[in-house]
Amino acid sequence: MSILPLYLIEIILALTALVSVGLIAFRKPLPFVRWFFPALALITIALFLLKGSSLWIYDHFTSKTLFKHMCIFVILSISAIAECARQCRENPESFVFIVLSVLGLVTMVSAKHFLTLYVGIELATFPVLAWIAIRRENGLALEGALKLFVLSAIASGVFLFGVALHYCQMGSLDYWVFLNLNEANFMPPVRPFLNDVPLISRVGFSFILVSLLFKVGLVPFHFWLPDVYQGSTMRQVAFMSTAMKVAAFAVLANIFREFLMVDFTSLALLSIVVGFFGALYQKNIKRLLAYSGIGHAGFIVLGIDTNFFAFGYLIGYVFSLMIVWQVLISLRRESDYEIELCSDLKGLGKRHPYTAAFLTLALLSMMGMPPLPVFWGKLIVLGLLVSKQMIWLAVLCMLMSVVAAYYTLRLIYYMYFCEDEKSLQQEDRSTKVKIGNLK
Amino acid sequence: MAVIPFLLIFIPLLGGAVVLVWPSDNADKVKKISLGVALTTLAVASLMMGLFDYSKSNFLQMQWEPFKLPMLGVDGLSLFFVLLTAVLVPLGMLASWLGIEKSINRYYGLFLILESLIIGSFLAANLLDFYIFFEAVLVPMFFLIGIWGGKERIAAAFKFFLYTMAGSVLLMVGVVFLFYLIMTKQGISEGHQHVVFWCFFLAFAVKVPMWPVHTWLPAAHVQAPTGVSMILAGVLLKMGGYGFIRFMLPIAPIACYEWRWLLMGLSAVAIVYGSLVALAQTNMKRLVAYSSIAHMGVVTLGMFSATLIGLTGAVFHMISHGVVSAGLFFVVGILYQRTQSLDIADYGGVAKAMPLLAIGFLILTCAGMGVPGTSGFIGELMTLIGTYKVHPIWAATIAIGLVLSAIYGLRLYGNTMFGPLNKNLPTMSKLEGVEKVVLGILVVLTLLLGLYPNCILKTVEKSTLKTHRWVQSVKQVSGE
Repeated sequence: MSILPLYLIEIILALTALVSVGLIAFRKPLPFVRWFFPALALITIALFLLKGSSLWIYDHFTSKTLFKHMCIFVILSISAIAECARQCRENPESFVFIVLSVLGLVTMVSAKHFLTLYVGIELATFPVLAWIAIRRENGLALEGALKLFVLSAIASGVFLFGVALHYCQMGSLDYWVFLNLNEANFMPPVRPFLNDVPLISRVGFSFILVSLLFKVGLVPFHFWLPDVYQGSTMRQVAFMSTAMKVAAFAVLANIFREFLMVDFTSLALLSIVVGFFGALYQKNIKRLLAYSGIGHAGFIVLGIDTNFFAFGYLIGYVFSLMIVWQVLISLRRESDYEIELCSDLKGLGKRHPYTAAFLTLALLSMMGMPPLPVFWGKLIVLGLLVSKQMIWLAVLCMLMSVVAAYYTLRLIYYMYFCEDEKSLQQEDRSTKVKIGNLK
Repeated sequence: MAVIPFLLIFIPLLGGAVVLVWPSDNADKVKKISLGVALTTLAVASLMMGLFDYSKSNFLQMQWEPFKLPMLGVDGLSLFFVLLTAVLVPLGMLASWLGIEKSINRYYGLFLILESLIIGSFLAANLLDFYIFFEAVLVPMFFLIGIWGGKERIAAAFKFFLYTMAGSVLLMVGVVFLFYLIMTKQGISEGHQHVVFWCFFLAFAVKVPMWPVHTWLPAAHVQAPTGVSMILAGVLLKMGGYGFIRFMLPIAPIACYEWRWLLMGLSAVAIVYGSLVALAQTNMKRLVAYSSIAHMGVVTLGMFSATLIGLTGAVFHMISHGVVSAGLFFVVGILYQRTQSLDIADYGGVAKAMPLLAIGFLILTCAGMGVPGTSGFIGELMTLIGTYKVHPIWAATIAIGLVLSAIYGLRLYGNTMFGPLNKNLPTMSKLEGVEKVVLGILVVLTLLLGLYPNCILKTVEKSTLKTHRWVQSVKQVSGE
């Protein structure tokens, strides 16, 4: 029984997925869709508060610490928001996909063994794949799903190959194995640099790293993001760009905060430059936010060495982004399609002042405008860079955020400075309720 | 006592939020409410002036310290900038009374939020606070220029935002660097000072604006509506000068001393260049904007001479220029509202139609030229003396600037006010009551500062004396 609370969340998720599949098979409605994720998020908090200390138990494959709990909580609450956002409930399959994917994400986050991690990654990716491909009639959706499928299959292959090489050398797939390197030399268990790891393991780990960076969308591995986002619906993108990102960064943080040290600086800088410049002239709003996500990934990875606080940047960014998606989902063009282009936002400020104000605040926050959430994260990333004596890098990163300001302002320009030609419809039902839920 | 600085920020912020969500159909009520909020802020600011202990004006007073962190406070330097803001904002609102018709509740709401943020940056008692306010000011300003501006408002708003943000992100690096030095208990060595110096210098130089980074200013001024122009020229530019004197000179005195040739050189270029470009302008607003660049050049030149009289004169000139340039933009706004033209050539003989305006405009123009009896004279004279002590050549540039300012000032005044009445002009209606009030207050302030400058100087001097001593000690170290 003592192990039950440790896996309670996973068990509930798995059972819910099974039950939902059953209900869908018999064409019954799913009664628990609305409150499922909020309840689960509350359970996470309750579990941590009630069983706090005993949850720090490690078993062989997973562990749950304060950090991991927070990540799980964030993933669940984001899923809750994503679930609230659903406009049409005609396809209950998507609920099953989300539940399964979240199960994968939770497994990823709490993994401390590369095989657990692998299972988590696959479980998180495949439902999303099916979810995107469910719009069979849409060419872009199929293209996106196919791209995601092929690329994540390759990434998984690379991952497994890396794991195999790593196992050859080290004889274990536990994250902890990196710390044993120093113990053999009678050193205290300090996380080693990647360069200090034996050669074959180093090569293997590099493969693993590549597939993780693919998930995060850091620069040389970022090409899939804009295309896949463009082919997905807003809800799918909202889920992929927030919940999945949080899990991927949590995995990186799990490994690189305690077990191994890798210098991400050059990749991060490259991502910031490519992401923010790439977003500059995008016409499609999903592509724009995809590129901006690449840039922000650079900032988050830069700050991964600061124990708790890169997490602050991540949370601030993810919640701001979630508000942005939320507002975009709630908007409809006259023909009841989702909005696609940045210019579809024209005249929003006049028609829906409160919605527009929310969107503006969230966008300004993503830009790093003080005193909104992302600013504080940026401050801490900057502090880390300065304390490493990398002033020039800090200056460069900050100047890049001026580039980010440009495309943010362009969106605001569409909302407030342009007279609207096309009438932008908004579902009058429950927009305020939804925004109320965000608070 | 300690609650006063907090109130000064909180009242306009709350008022602005309320006005923003107020239904926009009742324009008159919106105007009255926001003016009421601005006047309440002014009343609180006057209360602050009354309670201020002038014998200790070089110390931070009325500190607001939640959780034992000094957040807000006021001293002899910031007191007058806060007062200037609190005075100019209601005037700016009154100036927009007749001109603004589009979504009034948003305009006034943003105006109040802008006031709150500007006052916040003057009252900030630590660097991070200052940075937050300093940068957040951009957002309401961006909207005010972009929504209610002239024809090329959008380009101007973008230029303003991106330019100043590019400067202020460097300020953020500087702030974080200082924080790191303090946390690791390292002193601020000479090498560190240069890093801090460049971060701060670039940030504030864009805001002031100093010569090579000034190009956002004419664009923003020409496009902004009158009330916003008044705040922009009157207070926003002073945030840069305030930053120099409050943060850059005391924190990095050695670096400032070593780069003094650059700082003073750029200021001198700004004076001569700004005046010459102003001479060539045919657009009235553009002319006043370039003259602002020249005047801010005088301010920075006096400041970086680091003599006591130069520093004090620079602060005085900032406040005086705040009143005068706001007045000049207001006059231009009055003319523009009647004719929808900013071209000097379209005017002529306005003095006959609007005698009161002509009188007010004359006094403000004189203040711009530094005629004795107006506030401009005191500031120019003090900076002239201060810079002369460093080297006569710097004083010569101020003198050149004075001569040039007389040329473009008189040309502007003569071509618009005197001569035969231009036939193409629509009938120039007399000043409205609101306009009389605003112009009257600005003119009275100009004369008051010119005739009795000690009301500010005595208090400011105590604060600048501290900065001056600090820089002086560096001079002695470097053996001069």
